[in-house]
Amino acid sequence: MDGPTTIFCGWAFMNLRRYEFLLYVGPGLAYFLSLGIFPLLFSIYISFHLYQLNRPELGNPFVGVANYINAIRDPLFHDALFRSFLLTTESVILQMLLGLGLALLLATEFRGCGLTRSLLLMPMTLTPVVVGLLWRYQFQPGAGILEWIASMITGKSFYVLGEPQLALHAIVLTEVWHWTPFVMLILLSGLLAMPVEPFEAAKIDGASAIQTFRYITFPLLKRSFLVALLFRTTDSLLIFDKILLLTEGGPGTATQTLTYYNFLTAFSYWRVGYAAAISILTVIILNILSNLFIRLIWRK
Amino acid sequence: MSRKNLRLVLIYILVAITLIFFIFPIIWMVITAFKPEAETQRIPPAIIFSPTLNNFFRLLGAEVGSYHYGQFLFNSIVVAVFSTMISIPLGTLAAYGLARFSFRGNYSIAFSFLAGRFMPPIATAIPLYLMFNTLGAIDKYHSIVTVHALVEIPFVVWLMRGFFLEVPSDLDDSAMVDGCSRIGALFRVILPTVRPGLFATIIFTVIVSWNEFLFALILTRVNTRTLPVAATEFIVSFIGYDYGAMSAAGVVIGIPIIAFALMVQKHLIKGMTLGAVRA
Amino acid sequence: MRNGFVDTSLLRTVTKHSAITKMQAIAIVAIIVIAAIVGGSYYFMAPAPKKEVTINIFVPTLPELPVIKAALPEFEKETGIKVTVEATEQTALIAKAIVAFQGKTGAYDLVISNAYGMGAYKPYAEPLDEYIQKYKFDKTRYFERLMNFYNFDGKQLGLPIIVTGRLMFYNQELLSKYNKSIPKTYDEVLQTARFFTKKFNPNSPTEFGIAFGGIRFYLDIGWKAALWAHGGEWSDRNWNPKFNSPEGVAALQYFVDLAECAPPGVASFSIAEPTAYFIEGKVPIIEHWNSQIFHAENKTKSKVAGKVVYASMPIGPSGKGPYNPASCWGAIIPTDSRHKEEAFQLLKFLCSEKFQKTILLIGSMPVMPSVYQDPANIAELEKKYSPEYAKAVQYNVELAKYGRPFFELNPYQPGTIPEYMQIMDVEAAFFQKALGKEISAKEACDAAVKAVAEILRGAGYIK
Repeated sequence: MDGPTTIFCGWAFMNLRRYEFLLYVGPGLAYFLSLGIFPLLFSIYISFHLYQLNRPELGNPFVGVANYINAIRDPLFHDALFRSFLLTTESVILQMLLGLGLALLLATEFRGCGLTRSLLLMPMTLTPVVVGLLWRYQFQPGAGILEWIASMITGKSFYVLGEPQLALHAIVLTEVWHWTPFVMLILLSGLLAMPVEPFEAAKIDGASAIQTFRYITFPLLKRSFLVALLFRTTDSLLIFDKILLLTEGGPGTATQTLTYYNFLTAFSYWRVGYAAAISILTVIILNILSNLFIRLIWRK
Repeated sequence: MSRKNLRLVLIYILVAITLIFFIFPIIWMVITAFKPEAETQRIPPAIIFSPTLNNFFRLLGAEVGSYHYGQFLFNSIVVAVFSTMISIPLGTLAAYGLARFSFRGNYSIAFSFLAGRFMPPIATAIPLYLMFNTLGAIDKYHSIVTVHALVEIPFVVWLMRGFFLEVPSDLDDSAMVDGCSRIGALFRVILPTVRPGLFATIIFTVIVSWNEFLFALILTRVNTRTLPVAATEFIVSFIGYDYGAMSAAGVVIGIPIIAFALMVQKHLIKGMTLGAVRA
Repeated sequence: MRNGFVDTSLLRTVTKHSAITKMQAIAIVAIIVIAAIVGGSYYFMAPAPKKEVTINIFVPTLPELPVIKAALPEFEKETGIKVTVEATEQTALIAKAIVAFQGKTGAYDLVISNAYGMGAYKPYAEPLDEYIQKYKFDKTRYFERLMNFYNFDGKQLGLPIIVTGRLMFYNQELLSKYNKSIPKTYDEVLQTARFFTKKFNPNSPTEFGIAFGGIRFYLDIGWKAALWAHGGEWSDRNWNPKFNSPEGVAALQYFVDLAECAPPGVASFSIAEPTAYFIEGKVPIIEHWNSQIFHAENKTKSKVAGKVVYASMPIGPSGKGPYNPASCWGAIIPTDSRHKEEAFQLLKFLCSEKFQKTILLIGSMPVMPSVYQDPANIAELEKKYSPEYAKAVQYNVELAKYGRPFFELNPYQPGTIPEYMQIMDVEAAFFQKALGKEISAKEACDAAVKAVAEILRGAGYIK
């Protein structure tokens, strides 16, 4: 080889090494961004316009940040935000705790643990429509088992989905039932992939179960825990199908969460521009929350 | 009772309670699938009834816009399989890159995969529809497969990244010292090590695609309609909620997925016994 | 976390056990390739565009859907036009249709919609007057009021197919057993309901005295009928909402009181629940849709078949009323359709006497007066179902002739406005709060008026 080519190859070899990660990350990222960026840009664009689907004669006038200001002032938006936070907090805490407990339980070997694991995956595999209606039935007075239990305890028949105070918690219950297996699956995979030595060392050192958990299991599990937490929080905040099937936002606005309000605004009130602004605000909120979780858990 | 037995009994009790909570509604659903239509709405619920396959006949034999259930089943399978075939390789590679290389922007890229899920699906429905409509891809497989892969990639990336990070990079290094290229190390050594995680991810990806509703609703009409959307036509109508049909649909849609999960679940166990590097 | 020691001999053991062998790799690649080929070929073999004209219609999941589908082969034989039916649930349908219209690619040639939805569909509906003229479609053979629901600014934007409306169902047997006459006024309904509610009357034979649909949409409709009967109006001439008047509050209070006589969860009742309670004989009174007459008279499922008296909405305290909320299902042809002529043929078919008779005989509610009056049809109904049902079906004629559209807001400007759905949703959310005792009826009406006025102001109705 001649001189310049050798030098070039040497330089390329030295420098391209730095970009090796692109080989791996590149394809996925390119695919994801190319398709995913378009809806985001479209929504941002729309959110600055007054896009009224049932009045196309208005054209599509530019209104600046009017949509955002309206959202911040809108009492229904505040209400929806509040409901969403309530639902998400309750739902995610329950799912994570229950999922963790189940994962720990099922990580131990006992007869039938394989069968149990498969069975416990089942709620997650059901179609959302089916899950929603399944629980709608269970809540029905006189018909569902849940209502039966509740009426035994309280002595009177009531319809959980029709009570303003309780409807949201009913939705939480449905969510927990549906998605705890997801958390369990992730945490279980994390547990099963853990190296054994630290545990053996701990046993030799005479650590108690709680100490083992706190100082060894949980730190090792942090990553899986974080992943499950991030995904469940996002999905909980964006919950929609169950609200539509179980309560349609009612009674009153007791279960009118952020995304349901977004849906109403877009497809019932036909104010797509305003809906887009709500979407962008949702993205910002989730952004902040996720960053918060990541820093919290990594720092610990 | 010895301490070990006591612990075992405790475990079994907890397992039983958990199973009851999670499985009871499913059992009810399976039972209801066999109830004659009149019995499904009785208050209080009918415990004794004459089982019938009527609900299944109505669901499977019915013509939904001149397409049969078989077509929808096929569509769901095609979409799930192809979208997984796209998202798993792309996502796993990306996850590996994010886990093993430290470079500026590692965090940002990882986060951006997550951030793609922050948009309420409804907000993405209109632009995606308009985009695919312009391309003439509505009601064709490639639009829905592409979008499903898009939905699945964040899961794959973050799940696999977590699993890759659990495996110490010494393993890669020693494999490469032994003469593998980095890709070779990935395939020969790392992937087998994270196999339980990989299979968990695959299970999850298939489930996500199988049950996905909103994009399937918007991007398909009749030719490529998937099961969940088709089932809704029966279940939610102005006649009210047809619990018999819903249960039958739940059973029929759920069986392939559950069978798949059971099949793949074995590998979770297998991976565990091989495990990570042990002393 | 570093393990420290990674034994290369151990590594080889691990690799040997868990590496993918060459055979396995080949097998996997082969499976993928075969799957790709099969899938790809199937994709390319997916239904090819047909040579003859095919039109797409978008239908909600109505009870009449199977009948529509069953009649299509006949339509094809008559006209040579093939029809593809896409059906989905109503909420999803409106959303998807409007999104499809944005694409302007003629995705649908005919969309079946309820008249109240015209507020959303209006800008996208093709005026049909030209086709009506051309194909000599006789508008006068249909209920005029229903025709007008689709008429805007003198243009006919759609045609009605099925009439919908609300009425009262009374379990005659149960009422007369306790010497209760059929209630005529709102007050009487409430009193009768209270009599049959265990909470108010421990000797009541039934636990609950009444059931009705309490979801936002249905609550709003029932309340509006009560508002009119009490002498109130929704707004004045200039669109200023004034339904927080004493009449409006009284109307809402009526429902709040009724809710106490109704089974728990009435605020979530849609169509199925009130019917279920009524046909089981568990409540003697329901306020419900005309489509449920069929279920009430269904001898195999209903315990009260043959024992039901159907009546208009009650009369208000000052004698006003009854105001029966009415609307209809009809179809529009989207402006971006590429096969408007053929779509109109289908529309004509759905409105034809033959098809209208078909839906009458399956228990639906056609929009052609002559179909109800034909003695042959009546005889067939009596034979197929029961004399009581044949009689009850005539009620739909009254609805179609005298019903008041429930999507009417400003009484001086009949017809639906684009903002109807939003206004209805917002005000009904407040009404539901009153039903759930979160706020009083007065507070609910005041809050609703305020919110609605803002919407109207923003849309330019109120200057």
